[in-house]
Amino acid sequence: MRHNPAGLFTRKTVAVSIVFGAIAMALLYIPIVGLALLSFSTQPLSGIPWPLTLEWYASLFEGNNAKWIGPLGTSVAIGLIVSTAATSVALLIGRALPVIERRGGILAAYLSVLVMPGILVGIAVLIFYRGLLGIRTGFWSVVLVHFIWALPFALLCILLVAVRFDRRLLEAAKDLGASRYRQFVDVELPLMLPGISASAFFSFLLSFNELPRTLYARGGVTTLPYYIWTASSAHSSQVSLIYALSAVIMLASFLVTLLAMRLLMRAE
Amino acid sequence: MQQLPEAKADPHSEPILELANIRHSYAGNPALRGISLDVARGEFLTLLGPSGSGKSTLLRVIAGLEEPDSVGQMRLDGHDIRKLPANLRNVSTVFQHFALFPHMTVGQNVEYSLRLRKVPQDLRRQRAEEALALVRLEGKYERRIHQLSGGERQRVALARSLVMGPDVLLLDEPLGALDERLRLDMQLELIELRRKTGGTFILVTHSQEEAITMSDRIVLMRSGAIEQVGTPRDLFGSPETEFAARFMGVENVLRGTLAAMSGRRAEVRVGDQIIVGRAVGDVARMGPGDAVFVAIRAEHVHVGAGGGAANTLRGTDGAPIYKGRFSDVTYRSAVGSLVARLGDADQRAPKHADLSFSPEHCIVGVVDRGKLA
Repeated sequence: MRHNPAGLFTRKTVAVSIVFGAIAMALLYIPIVGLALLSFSTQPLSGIPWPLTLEWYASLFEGNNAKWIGPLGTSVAIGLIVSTAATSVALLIGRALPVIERRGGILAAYLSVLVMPGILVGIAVLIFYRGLLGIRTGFWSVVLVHFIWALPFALLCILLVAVRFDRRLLEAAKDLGASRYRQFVDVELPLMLPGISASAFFSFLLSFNELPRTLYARGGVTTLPYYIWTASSAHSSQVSLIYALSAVIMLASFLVTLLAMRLLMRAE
Repeated sequence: MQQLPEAKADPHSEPILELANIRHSYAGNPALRGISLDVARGEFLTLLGPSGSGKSTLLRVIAGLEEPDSVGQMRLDGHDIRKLPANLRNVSTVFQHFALFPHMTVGQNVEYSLRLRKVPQDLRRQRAEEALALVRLEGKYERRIHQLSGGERQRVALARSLVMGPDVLLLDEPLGALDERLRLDMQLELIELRRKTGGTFILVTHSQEEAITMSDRIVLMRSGAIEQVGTPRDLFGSPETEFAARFMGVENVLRGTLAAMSGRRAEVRVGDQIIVGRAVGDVARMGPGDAVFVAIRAEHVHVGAGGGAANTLRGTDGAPIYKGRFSDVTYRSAVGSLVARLGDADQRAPKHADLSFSPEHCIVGVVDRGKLA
């Protein structure tokens, strides 16, 4: 700590916060690392990582074991659609919000969906959209609930760059001869790109890993999280594979998140 | 409508810009109250005025960035541009805040207008380098914007606007963000730049010193209307209204009533004194009994006995203020306080003295032109 002691932050309290910070970090990552370790265990269900083996990873693609590939395709497809839709809509809203007067209320309305329990949202959507509007559950209803889930996050990503965007630059571009389209493509888009790509990555991940809302909206569709959830609770022969599969997905998600964060930080 | 003095630059050709009866308001508050103005080809015109006078709004209207409520006429190089959007008008603005694109290099910024006009890349680069050389930024083509100093950014903004060869270059308080020393350098550089390019420049500023130094002609604005138009010499030496006199920095502005007129010679009653001065502006409309102002610059008030000047007042309780190159002494007199300037700052100011000034240096004009709604 280079900072001078100020307020509550004396040398002693800083030491205490470091300790608690470390404990929190451990609580967050021990289960994840543990699960990853178990995926190399010959007997994952025993909870003991030893002896190590690559058997599960190797068998992921063998015959009946490869049943997760279908759900993976479904989840990737839904994720891509949700990511594109949420990011586009967030871009439209995010460009407008900074210039609207009394935007606080509108912003709060968009973002408060974040803290609603997922299961409730799933049930509510099921009742209203299927019961009242007659929308059939299936692929597109999953896209819909995922879109609702991802939009506030996408909006936050876009707003991070949109509030800092200097609209006078658009005027300068116009003055130099740029049409509305060129103003957007040459000036606005490149300067907002970090937020846009972060939004795209986050929206994809949120959709890709979503389960509670999917449970109600899925109809007959099987997403990857749903497949893993059923497989791991069914005590089937697949269970041991699930550890390996989950570890792979976690690693991929982690890398995408890292990339998205770096993109956002670079905008600073 | 006011008589426009003929512009110095090329008075015989058609004006590059003709504006007639431009009106604009923001949320019901009038910002431009029927502005009419012609700008000659190759002229350096300055829109001068305090904040809120409408000078920047007028510039934005010319650029097309602001759509006026109504416009009688707006012609650029003989073409009607009333309906033409900003991106299709061949004018270019240098903004006070520069508005350089932070994600582009210096070269990309300068070339942007050429890229939009589909100029081939090698030609683009060549013209950008020329423009950068013009503003003394040779070799900065590859630089990033954030690597530049404030003065350099200003030059890049200038180069970016000049490279497209605008019919009129609009300068919106371009020196406002620079420090004193740099501002003085840039003033000279802008004059030089205009000479080299032969372009038409319209500058917006609130600094009378800047306006006088750089312009061929000054348009003084007040609350959305034109107060006075003239050469820097006209504005400085013969401000026609009280507002103009005060804005052009005349230290002594008094109010009185006109007692007698003969030709340009005006006798004004201020308090119980008669002051003789030179009538400016719309003399024909002035008659005995009219409210007028009297303006005398401090450097024209002579301290000490004599000179035989027509106007002599007794000054008492002189309070000097040291200003470096000179000092200003504020005296009390029969017409109110009067500021006199001592050219030698170290000269001791007499506590009480006779103050005199010649009628030639004492300007008399109407207080209110009655133009303002």
